[in-house]
Amino acid sequence: MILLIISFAVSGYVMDKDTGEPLPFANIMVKGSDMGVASNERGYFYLKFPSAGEYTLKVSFIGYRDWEKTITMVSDTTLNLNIGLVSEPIYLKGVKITASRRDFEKAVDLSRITITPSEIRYLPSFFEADVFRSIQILPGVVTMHDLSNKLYIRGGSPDEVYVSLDHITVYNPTSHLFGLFSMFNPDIVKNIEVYTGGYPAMYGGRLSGVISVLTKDGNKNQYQLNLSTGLISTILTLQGPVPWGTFFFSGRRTYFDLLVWLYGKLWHQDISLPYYFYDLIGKTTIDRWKDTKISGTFMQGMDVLDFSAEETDERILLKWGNTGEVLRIERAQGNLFFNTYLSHTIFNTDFRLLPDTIYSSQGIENYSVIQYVDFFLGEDRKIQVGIERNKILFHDKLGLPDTSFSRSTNDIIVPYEGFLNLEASPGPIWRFNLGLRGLYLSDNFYIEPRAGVKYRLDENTNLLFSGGIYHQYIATLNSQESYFLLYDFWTPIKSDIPWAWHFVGGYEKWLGDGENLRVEAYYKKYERVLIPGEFFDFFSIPAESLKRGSGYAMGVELLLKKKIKNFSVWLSYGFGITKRRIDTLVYSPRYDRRHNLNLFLGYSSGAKHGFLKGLTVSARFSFGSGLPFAAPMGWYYRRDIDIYMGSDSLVEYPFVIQGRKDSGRLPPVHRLDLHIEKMIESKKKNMGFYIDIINLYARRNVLFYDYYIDENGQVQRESISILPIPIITAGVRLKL
Amino acid sequence: MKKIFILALFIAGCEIIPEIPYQPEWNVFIVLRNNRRSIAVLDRTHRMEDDIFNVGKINMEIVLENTDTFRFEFDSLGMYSVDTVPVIPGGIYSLYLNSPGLGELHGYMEMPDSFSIIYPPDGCTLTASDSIIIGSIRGIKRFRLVAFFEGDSSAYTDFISDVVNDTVMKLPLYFMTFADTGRYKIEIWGMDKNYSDYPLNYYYLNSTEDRRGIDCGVGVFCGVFIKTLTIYFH
Repeated sequence: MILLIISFAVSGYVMDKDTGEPLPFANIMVKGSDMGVASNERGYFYLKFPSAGEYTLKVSFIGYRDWEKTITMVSDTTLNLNIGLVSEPIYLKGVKITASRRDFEKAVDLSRITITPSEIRYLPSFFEADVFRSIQILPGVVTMHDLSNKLYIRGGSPDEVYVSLDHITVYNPTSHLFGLFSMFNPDIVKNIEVYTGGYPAMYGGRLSGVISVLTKDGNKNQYQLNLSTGLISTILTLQGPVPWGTFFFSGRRTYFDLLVWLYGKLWHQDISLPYYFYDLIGKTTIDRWKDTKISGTFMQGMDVLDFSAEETDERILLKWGNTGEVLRIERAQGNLFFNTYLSHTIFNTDFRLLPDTIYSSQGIENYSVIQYVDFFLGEDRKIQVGIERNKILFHDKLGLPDTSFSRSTNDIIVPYEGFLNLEASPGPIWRFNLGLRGLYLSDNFYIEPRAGVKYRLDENTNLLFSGGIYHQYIATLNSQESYFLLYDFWTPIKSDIPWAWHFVGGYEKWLGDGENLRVEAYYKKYERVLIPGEFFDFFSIPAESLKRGSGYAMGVELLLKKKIKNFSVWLSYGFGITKRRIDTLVYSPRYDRRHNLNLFLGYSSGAKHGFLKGLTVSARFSFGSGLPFAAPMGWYYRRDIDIYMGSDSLVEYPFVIQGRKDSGRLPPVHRLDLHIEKMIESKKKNMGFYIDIINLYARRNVLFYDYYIDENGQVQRESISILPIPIITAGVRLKL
Repeated sequence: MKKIFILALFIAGCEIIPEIPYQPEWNVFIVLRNNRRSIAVLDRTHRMEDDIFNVGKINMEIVLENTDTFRFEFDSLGMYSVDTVPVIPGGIYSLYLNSPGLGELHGYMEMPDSFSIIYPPDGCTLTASDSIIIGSIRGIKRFRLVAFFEGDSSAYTDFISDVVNDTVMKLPLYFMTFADTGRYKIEIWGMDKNYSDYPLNYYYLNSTEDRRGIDCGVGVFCGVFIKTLTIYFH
């Protein structure tokens, strides 16, 4: 079809035709040429043509059918074109890998990977599909043990990774159940953008990486109910049109406590599980205007431990979690795209020993304003200018009402930041992404240059480089080397703030449609980082009193995406060395995993009929070399005066003498996980069943060694595993 | 690709776990106290898979103010009384240990000087929101309170507070919030620097942190100045 219009440029949104949901990072190409752009994170694009003429646009996005249209440009006005892509039927969707030709040719996206909801869904999950667990298959991302969701990115600890949900800063994203689950329910996700290093000027405030989660806007055309029930929780998602635009709501709650309560009632047993967690997210979007959209998002993720002792009337109430709100205003005006985010977020812990014995609360709260504008200067050029202002408050309260003892400390920092980013392509060979970020904090000004370069060696091969300087003005007081922690305690850093520089070099090879190979090497240097002790009494300790250190991380990573008939293969391997230095002591932190390998294999039958229709099977094999630990050298009895025996006796405890904290390495870890899913599709509803098997061959990965002195005075060693048996999870998904 | 995969597995398998030889060291716990028994526990550390290790004869010297030397000779490791060493408030003590198996060890300690109890007077009635007020604090790094319930030799609990003001200090009794009503004998320990730094460092994993007031091995050479007080608590 030929659409005759008068224009030299085209702009608009790429969206899901059925739901109206904007599709971020979709590819808009001009057939028969190397012209093309990608939609931005809100699905908006602007493509300028060099001259009048006839052009055929081709738009593609993973999980959707390609869209094509021929347009004729005869004048210098801009054509507004909203493009609706049709979702592929389930039997074709299956397990897919993302590798776009346009990105390969145009994007300076070293150390950047986007993950879609379908990729999260088809990964084997531990009880729950989890956004952070899906990120673990990326090269350069390390976790400390089988169940952990705390992500160590290229030698950077979790507190060095900026995590946001619709640009709301999330301070403890993996706070559910000792870090086992993140607070991002997968049903809310539209897109995840992960930077493992060398990230552009738009992002700041952290030393190591970025995880930006964008939520869905909601179905524009019809009401939709999704219900997903697994072994420990249920997710209910409701979305649809409203007079002013769309709404989206999703809630998740664990129900183990309810099942145990019900069991106790039915069988007259006095048992309870006084713990649960829940997430809520609500969003509404106003899109009544042609060029302007306003959306508001509310999120809350909370863990609750509520234990009562009936005999004594004592009650322990511990609540911790995130709450946040953001108001977003976006305005598209030809080649200008304006964004404003007004957000508020708080992570709070609240501990009470009732009746009125102990009260304790710690927290971090952030009021933020981000404004930026994208200037689309042409097919390959874009300027982005923005400002960011945060007001971050910290509090720590402890009260003993019975004794009138109380302690309360508060702190605040107000960093001002600005950023400028230029994407340019002087010719077909070179492509640049140059940026500058400035930070003003406590009468000090910090400059952060950023740069990314793509050099096309030939049609199917690229070289890439990126780097930059990064600062971080908050840190956790608790050690990031701990295996388990309920949550992090944050503190401001007002002077001599930690900083790092990154340099990343990459080689990229296009292997075919949707297939590529990428090899990256990186070096990251840290200065002035805060290194808390592992057993520090961290309440109310100012950041300045913690130990300062330096360090570096370097490594090589490989990521291969390949399709073989109905199989999708994702192979990632990372070799990394991480060192930290305190005074003269140079050591490997506990998360310094030397080798990390992930092999993901997905199978989709593609059958249109029969049992195989809608059937997908995926498997993930992971291998990691052993983490460092303080190998014991000897033992002794530590003695003290035994006050319980009248202060004239001695008490003695056997103590193991540890070597350097990195003097030994635990055995390598490996594991095979499996996911089988069957979807049944009808005109009005979809239904699916899935089974996950984690640790299929019952590998006993060693978490740590426990040493003890037996009755014969001999030191014994016991290997502790956290996941010694296969864990089978099953669930149901329903879409109405 | 296959080659890269095999190479990665090969490198992973070649990861070297260093063998660290460990030589047993002195493990001492020597505390000098006024009004209480002064003790010297002489011991050693052990290898993970220990073998027979004879330390031989042990010579110990405790020197007061570089003038009075108190010599001891022991045939084996063990716990010994060192009550013959006078406890002089504010006195400077040095320690010398030697055995053929463990070699030499030197130690240094400044005995806490003294303090006075300003409040309460002996026999007073107190609650958990009250405090004991201490004054004229000399040479003390930290206080430790130990409350003994009358008629019971076991302590209820203890409370530790660093000295932040040597003129007057409040030692709150809120640590006794859950204590039963009754008479208590409270021992107030004025601890020297070595002992102050020693007991709270249980969790330091590096063995060099387990040493206080001695130049090698593990353990502590320390002094405590003790006063007692009787209160009625409710």
